[in-house]
Amino acid sequence: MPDFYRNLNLTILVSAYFSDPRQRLNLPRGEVLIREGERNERLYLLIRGKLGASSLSGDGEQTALVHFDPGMFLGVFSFFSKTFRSSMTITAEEDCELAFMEKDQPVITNEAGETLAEQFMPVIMADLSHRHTRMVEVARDKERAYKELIQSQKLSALGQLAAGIAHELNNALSVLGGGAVWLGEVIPERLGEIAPEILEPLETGLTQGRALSSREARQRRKAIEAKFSLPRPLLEQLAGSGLDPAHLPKDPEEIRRVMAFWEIGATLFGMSVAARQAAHVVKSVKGLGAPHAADRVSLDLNGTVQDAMILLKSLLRQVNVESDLGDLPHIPGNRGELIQVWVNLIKNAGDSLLHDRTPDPQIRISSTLEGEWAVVRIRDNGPGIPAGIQGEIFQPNITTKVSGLSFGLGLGLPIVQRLVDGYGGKINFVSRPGETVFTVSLPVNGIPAGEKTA
Amino acid sequence: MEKPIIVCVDDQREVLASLRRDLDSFEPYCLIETCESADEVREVLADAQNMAHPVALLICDHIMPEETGIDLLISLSRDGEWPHTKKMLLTGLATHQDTITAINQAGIDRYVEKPWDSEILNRVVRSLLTGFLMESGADYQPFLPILDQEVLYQALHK
Repeated sequence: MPDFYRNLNLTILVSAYFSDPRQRLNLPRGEVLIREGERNERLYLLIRGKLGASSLSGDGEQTALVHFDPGMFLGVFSFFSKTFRSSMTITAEEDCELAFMEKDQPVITNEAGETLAEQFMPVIMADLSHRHTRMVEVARDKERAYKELIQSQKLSALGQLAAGIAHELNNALSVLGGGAVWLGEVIPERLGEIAPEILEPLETGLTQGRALSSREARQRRKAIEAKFSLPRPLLEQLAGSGLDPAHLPKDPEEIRRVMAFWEIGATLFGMSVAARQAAHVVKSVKGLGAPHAADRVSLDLNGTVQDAMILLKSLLRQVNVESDLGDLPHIPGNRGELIQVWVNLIKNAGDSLLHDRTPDPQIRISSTLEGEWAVVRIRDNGPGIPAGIQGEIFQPNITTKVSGLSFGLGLGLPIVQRLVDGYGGKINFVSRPGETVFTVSLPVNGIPAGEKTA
Repeated sequence: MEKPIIVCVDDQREVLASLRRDLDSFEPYCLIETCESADEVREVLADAQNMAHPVALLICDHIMPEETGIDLLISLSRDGEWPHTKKMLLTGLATHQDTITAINQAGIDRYVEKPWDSEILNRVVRSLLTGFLMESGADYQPFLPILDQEVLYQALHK
């Protein structure tokens, strides 16, 4: 007996009105009991089987509304409102047996002298309540579906936009990066023939770039300015280059000429580094678009963690990063996707440490094999995720990066979650001030059957 | 007067080098100091004070680890040590709120977006240097070749 009849005593009604064996019918599966809009002067009681009600919506589609289980009445609304027209089409979903009463069937008087409607009042109320509950459920489902749709549209619109921009930028970056690399090869080749004395400074610039920080360069300049009487800008350049003044010509004009070639080399070096960095940014933005389309191959999970650490090298300059990567079997995966997972998590840890100015900032990255799972843990000693948003961090648009530091799009963790889900993996975290650990577990044998997400 | 200093700060060394190159034309008249962090700027400013070099201009990136450019500019303007120093924000990513804070609390004089156009940057620097020299009451004659004639004219005819 369905829930909402729980408190009703139907035995009396059933024996009074639904016990005549002539008022019984069997309805095979697939047959229609009543059609929407057609006349129906009966009140049915489902004895056995299952029925489904549907209604024709505005655009001509049949929309499923409710299901009927044994013990439920059908046609309550049309019978007691005396419209005698069905508002739904009712079809047998299984072979059914039904009892029915006719509209002009004589009323069986009870002790209280109630009319038929009064006797059926509990049934009528239960029917209304059932319809109401169902309506609320439908409305909630729609609301949820709508929100999901909006969210996925946002992401896919962003993804398409990103993919378009990425394509354009990648073309431009290939020209710039490729050009810088080519110039770095051809210039020493051509110039070395005619002016071999510029080769050392040029090659130093080309291979090391600007190796000294501005602070180191300033200290070095102060140290050498007493020994070499050169104009200040030239001294600065010489100090910043890291070149040994003893290897340089004595004449200031000659030094100036030679240093210009160091500057050319260092600039070309910087250009190709910048082009590579920009290409990486483009690549990770592009990942927003279609992360599942890419092919999966058997790969070394630890390698993807190391790649992520390389990509984040400049961010993590001020953080003490330790890694303890254990032996893992190769797992089926997409290199780019996995790098993106680690980049997001490590970058979050780094950003929170730097933004909080945590003293002695540390990130520990470990990987272990735990049964059927490859488990990667990323631990930081930062301020932790505010308790108030811990429940929401995998929702898009949640970000703690309010100051404009980093991108702070609030898209990192939802993307990570989506990628990890795509592997049939799990991601969870524990966070309190002083320690935050994100744990990503990926099945070593690939996606478990039946868990693959779209 | 000792040569005025232009201080450039950006956490990305390559950007700093490129900015430094674009300021070459000021080299004969100014000292150009480059810094990779807010802390380093303070060291350079302290040095400048010891050597009695005036600091004419601070060109500052915003997004830097540890201390943002705007925070640095705010703390310097609270110190009040460098009342005539001109401040330029040179950045590719500052939110609307950051920008409002920069103007209202740090009193920045100019805002230039990255990537910058070398010619525009030079024009802005020239006009800020001229403003600095006029306001600090220094003798502007030796600097004439790098000054903004229009700013100079207006300042002289006030």
